Amino acid sequence: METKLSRRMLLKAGAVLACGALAGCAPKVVEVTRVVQQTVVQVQKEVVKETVQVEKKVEVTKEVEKQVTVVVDAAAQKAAAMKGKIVWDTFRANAPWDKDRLDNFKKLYPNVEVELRMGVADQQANYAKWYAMEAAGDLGDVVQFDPSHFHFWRAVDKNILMPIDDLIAADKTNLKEWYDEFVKMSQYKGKIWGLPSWGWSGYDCLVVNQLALKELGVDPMPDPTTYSTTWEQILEWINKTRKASGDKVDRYGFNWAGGEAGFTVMSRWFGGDLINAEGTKTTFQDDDKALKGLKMVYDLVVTQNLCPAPGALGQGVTNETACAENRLTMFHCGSLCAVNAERAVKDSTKAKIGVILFPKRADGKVPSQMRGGAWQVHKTSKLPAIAYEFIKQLTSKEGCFGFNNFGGNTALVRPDVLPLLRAQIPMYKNFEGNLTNGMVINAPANSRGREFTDVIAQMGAKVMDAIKPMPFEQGIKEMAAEIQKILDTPPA
Amino acid sequence: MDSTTTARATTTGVKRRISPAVIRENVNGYLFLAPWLIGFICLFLGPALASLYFSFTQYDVLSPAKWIGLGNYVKMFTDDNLFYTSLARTLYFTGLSVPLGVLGSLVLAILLNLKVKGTVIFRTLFFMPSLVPLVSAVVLWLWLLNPDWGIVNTALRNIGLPAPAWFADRDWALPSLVMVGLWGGIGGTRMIIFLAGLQGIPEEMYDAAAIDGASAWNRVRHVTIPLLSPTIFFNVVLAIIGALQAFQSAFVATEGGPAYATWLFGLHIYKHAFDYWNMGYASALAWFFALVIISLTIAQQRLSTKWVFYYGA
Repeated sequence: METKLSRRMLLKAGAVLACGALAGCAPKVVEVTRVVQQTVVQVQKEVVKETVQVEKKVEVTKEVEKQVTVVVDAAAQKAAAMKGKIVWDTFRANAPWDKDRLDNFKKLYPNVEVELRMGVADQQANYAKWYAMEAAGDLGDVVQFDPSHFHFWRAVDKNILMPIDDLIAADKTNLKEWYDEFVKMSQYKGKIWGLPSWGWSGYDCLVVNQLALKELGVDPMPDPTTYSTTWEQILEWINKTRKASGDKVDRYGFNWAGGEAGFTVMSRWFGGDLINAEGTKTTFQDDDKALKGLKMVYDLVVTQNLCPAPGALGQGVTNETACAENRLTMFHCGSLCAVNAERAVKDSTKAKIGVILFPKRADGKVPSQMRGGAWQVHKTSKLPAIAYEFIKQLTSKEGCFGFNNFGGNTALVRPDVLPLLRAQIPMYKNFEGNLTNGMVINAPANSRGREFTDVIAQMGAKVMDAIKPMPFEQGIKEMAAEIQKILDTPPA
Repeated sequence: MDSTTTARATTTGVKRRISPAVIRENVNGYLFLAPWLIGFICLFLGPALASLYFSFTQYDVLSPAKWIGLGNYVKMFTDDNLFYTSLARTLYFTGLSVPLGVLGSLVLAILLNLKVKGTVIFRTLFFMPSLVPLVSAVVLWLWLLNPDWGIVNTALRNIGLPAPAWFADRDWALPSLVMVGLWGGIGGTRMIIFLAGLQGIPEEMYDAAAIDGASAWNRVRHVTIPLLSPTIFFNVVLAIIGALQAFQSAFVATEGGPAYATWLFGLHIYKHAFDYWNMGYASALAWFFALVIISLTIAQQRLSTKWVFYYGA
């Protein structure tokens, strides 16, 4: 007997099966659905939260945009509003840099005219001219009376410069853009008188011909940034690298640094100083720590006669050149000299320039004398705000970097310039620590800096005279008396 | 009333008429004088009188001058060690350079006055160093007198003589400056003036001396020197003034060093004026020194009556 399955039966059976299957699966589907629902809710919550945050950020961004727009507009308005002519008095024969700065400033301040007045290249000669111009009422709006040359304090005392504290505050200039020590050099009488433009941690190293040391087996030289080279090692190298045949010296081991900065750092080597921080008293003559450094050089120059007499390297031959020609192993100077010595190397088989940084003092300071200069606004400038904007241009990152690039000068006054310079001249990496830990100049309180430098140069030459030696103690006593006499002179 | 009185009354009573031509001539004369006169008044007399005033003040150019009477003059004698040092150095420099310079120029002029072949060439050669600017000459001599590498010391060592450190040696620095001055000065205008003086001596004087049997030395001693004495006097006066005012060579070569060994008075004035900005004190120093120079010149003038012979006067 044949049984036929009707369509209705088949649908019923399918429905039964489906219901059975569904009945079997029902709990899991519910569970999955619940999890999915929870996840969706959670995600929804997070999305909402994120959305709220994003919306907030968007609002903040919009606000910032508004503010930036306002600031940019204000700057543009300010730039557009700045009209007039300022005079830039400078002594630097550094035409490409000057032009670069002027062009850049012109782009930012199209309505401002800057007249460049180039003085004589020799800074010292130029100051005389500027003082005369000041007396004649003809000094420009932007000037530079350098602390290193002791004209800064005098210029302030003589009412030539304008304090820029208010301009800094109004502009919200961040002074941390420059190394603290250089900013400090422009501070006097509780005010700031300029923005640092150039400078280096002066006389903080021995510039060395590494190949001379290699002959002694010192290879590689100790890493200068570890400050690990000892004075004993230095003295040994000075003695052992000297080469002489009869009276003729083929290579000197060391040359000392005369002059005010050199003597100051010598007296700082072991923790002393030449004069007190107030600039009123000589301190070196009664301080064993100061005398130790000076005596060490006296022994090298006078007692042992190991250093070249003035001019002995050849007329016009600098320490840098002599070092680059392997006629001098090392000399006391700073980063500027080190870079110049490196540039002076013509034959790499004769010299490879390195540096030894002096061992740190007990107070953690690096024996040095920070040297540098700042651009300043003239007291009687009729457009101080423009003059200030211009000195910002001169001392900006681009300004300082260009100063090195175009002029070959040393402008190590800004931390943001150092990486750029280091990329060009790796030598600079050695000096970064000294820029933050160097020692400032102690200036005579009476602004008699020129007399001060002259008396140290002349009396220093007498103390360190190997041709007509005088006892160290007597020389120091005479030198201290002469310097004190200058410090006791009425203010300039 | 006699005739003389009448004539005087006439001349005083009547104004002398000056012709337009004379006036025109006078005006033209003053016009020609004017450039020099204006320059003299504005660039010399005016500043000189101003500096005389400033010498009695404390003045630094940047602040108004403050009257201090004789303060600066008292200070230079009582409170400035370098005043005496620089004065002594300057007198030493003058004492060394003037006799050597004048004598050297005179000897050269006498030699060039001899009628020998090639005199023109020698005159040119001797004159040439004086054409070299002093600064260049100083730089050149810094090379020549370099203690280790200089040609002078190399030569001295080769003949077994001690080689000084010249500019680097406190005892030799000043003589080195004298040497530079002599190199440029002996064969210069002073020699030319001597030569002119020599050629102005009448030939018959020498002929007369020769006939009387005078030797060459006696002719120089008894004919040349007396007849040349006005020229010698002139050159000595100028040489002393020039030496006392020496500044450039010390400024360029040594900046007064080593250890003040070449700190000449001119440099001392310059330092106080343009480096230390003690303009009042520098003015006092300058006026004191001007008085020293004027006094020395007057003294020489007085002494000259004893040894200067003006032929035909």
